[in-house]
Amino acid sequence: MKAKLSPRAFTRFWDLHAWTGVVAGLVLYVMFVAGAITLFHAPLETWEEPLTQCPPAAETLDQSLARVLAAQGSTPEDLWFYPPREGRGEPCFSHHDGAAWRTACLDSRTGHLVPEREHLAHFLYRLHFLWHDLTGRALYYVAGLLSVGLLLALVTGVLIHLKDLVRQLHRFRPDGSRRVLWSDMHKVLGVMGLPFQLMYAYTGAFLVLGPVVLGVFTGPVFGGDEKLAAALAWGTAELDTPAAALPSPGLPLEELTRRARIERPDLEPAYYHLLGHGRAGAAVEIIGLGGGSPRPGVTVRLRASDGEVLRTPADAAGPAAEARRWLRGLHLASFGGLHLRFLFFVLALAGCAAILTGNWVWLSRRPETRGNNILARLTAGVGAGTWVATAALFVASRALPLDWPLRGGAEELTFLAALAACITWALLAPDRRSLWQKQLALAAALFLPVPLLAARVSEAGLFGAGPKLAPVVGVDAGLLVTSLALGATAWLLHRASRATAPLPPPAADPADPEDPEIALPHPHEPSPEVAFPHASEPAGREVALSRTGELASPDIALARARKPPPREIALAPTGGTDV
Amino acid sequence: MFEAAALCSAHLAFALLHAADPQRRPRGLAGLVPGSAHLFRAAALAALAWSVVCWARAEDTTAALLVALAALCTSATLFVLLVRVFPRLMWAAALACAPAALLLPLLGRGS
Repeated sequence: MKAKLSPRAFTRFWDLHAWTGVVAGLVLYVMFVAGAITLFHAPLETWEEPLTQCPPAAETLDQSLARVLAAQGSTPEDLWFYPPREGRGEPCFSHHDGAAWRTACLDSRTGHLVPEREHLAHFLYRLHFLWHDLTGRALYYVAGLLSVGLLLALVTGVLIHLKDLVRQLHRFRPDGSRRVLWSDMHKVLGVMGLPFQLMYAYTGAFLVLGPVVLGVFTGPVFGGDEKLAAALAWGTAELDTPAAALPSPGLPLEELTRRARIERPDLEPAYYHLLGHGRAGAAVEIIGLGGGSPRPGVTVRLRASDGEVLRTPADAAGPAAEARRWLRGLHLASFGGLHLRFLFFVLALAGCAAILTGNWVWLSRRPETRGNNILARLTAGVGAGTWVATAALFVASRALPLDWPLRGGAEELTFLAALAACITWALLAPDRRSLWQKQLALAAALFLPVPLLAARVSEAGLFGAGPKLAPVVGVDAGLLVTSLALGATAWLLHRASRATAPLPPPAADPADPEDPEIALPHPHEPSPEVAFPHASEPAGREVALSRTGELASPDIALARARKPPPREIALAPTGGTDV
Repeated sequence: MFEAAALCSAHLAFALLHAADPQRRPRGLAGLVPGSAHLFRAAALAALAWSVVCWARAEDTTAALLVALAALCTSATLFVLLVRVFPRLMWAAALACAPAALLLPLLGRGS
């Protein structure tokens, strides 16, 4: 069965798809790149901080905690304790000191706490959803709205290609004109990556905007009780910090973990939230992952004194909370192991390429105006500049002194300054054709020395002198592969630009009778007879253009005789924006 | 090993689906008997099912279905974009996936 849209609906969906892509695309591109890297957040955290790489001390959880608290010199009322994970690393903890969150790890060699000093993995993770402490929730909500925009672009993209969606699965013509090449790539990347992109757009929008929607219902449905609303809708609950009380040692953390596992046999503990530690009425939340696919986040709450499980309204949470956990697990790729993360990484990069090719399709279909010129330059500046900025961030991470107190902020500024510089470069460069190859070559050159610089900080990497650790070696190898891939792409672009310079004007491909880029040359000059061949014409009728731009279909030629030719079908020598 | 076999099988599944159209097949296979398109599609379905079965040995069925879908999407993207540029490499890789998808689980069982 072939579904067809009316010409009017086709134009509307086409415009919506194109404008959504152009307006939201480049920020979504940065979010996708950050998200792709964040798939390897855990190995990056190990790679960046040498304190997570050392063998753990042979001690119980309580002994680790006691050492941390002794180094801290006080016991915060409300603290999070992170024991060594995967059999390595120092114990860490975090708490809120009334002004800001403080995270520190114990350095067993000195017995002192080392404040969190490395921001690379965390910065990229937060960049994925546009969060920064300085900007707060404002940009975070923008990220949620952009996810809705992506969802809209995907749905409208499917609708405008509904008739020939299956054909788009297999069609790619690298020997066609530039416009056909971008168009085919955009469709292949869009159609093949559709399940992945739909999943991420939906779950991303749900995770960010879901609480906002819940806030609307909190008053009328839950009587304004935000905690109850969150507990029943999301399955989350906050325990109250116990009132000041006499010291009273609780059960050991190992024993509490054992009891939590009786409650949730599938629980794999990751860290502990301790409230009123060491006093009567103290409580412990044991937080980790549960079983199943995707693996849900699990929290078991216990009274520290006797290990009794504390029930909260969250325990009564129904399908909505389960659905949220499932969607969150799906978004975080908490199943499938490293294999799935590599698959998602490739699909995320394919999503990035779909965004860029979408912009290039837009540009190749439109005349060279000031706005389109800026868009072409922004596409290059953001598209390649994101990789330059990421590479600069990695260089800063390994080149700045590890114990320099300002290094976190310096890393973030390095990323933003590099991205801003690349965008400025793109906007001001006299020759825009070589922007991509130059910026990608720069990114490759910046990534290349990072594994060597990393050996200064850690001995566990590819070029380190000490015992190797798989996550550290893996990140080093990944950086080298990224450098080689970016360098190869820059070289291929350089070769292609030499082979094709000067660029020919954009030409329609005669072998593409139903290509909307040919059929719909300018969305604001709709000419139903010309513009929507597959939406408005009887099946079997073909519309094609010869190499010289002549209309091959007699009916369309008739239509052309009645109306002035749309701008780009006329194949003006200077038409189209070079991308 | 089961995971690698599942990925190989998913890649093979898309290559077979791609080859269901005689015009897209590599030279030498284009002139197969009429109706062979159905055989290719059936083989693709079998390969995809084998991918799910292989992954289900490592994780549960939900994960196996999700991973097989992700692997199919990834293979499809790479295959369609690269097969016109590097046809021999891509078809050779797809061909190599057939024995790999069958042999890797045996190796996994032995280890």
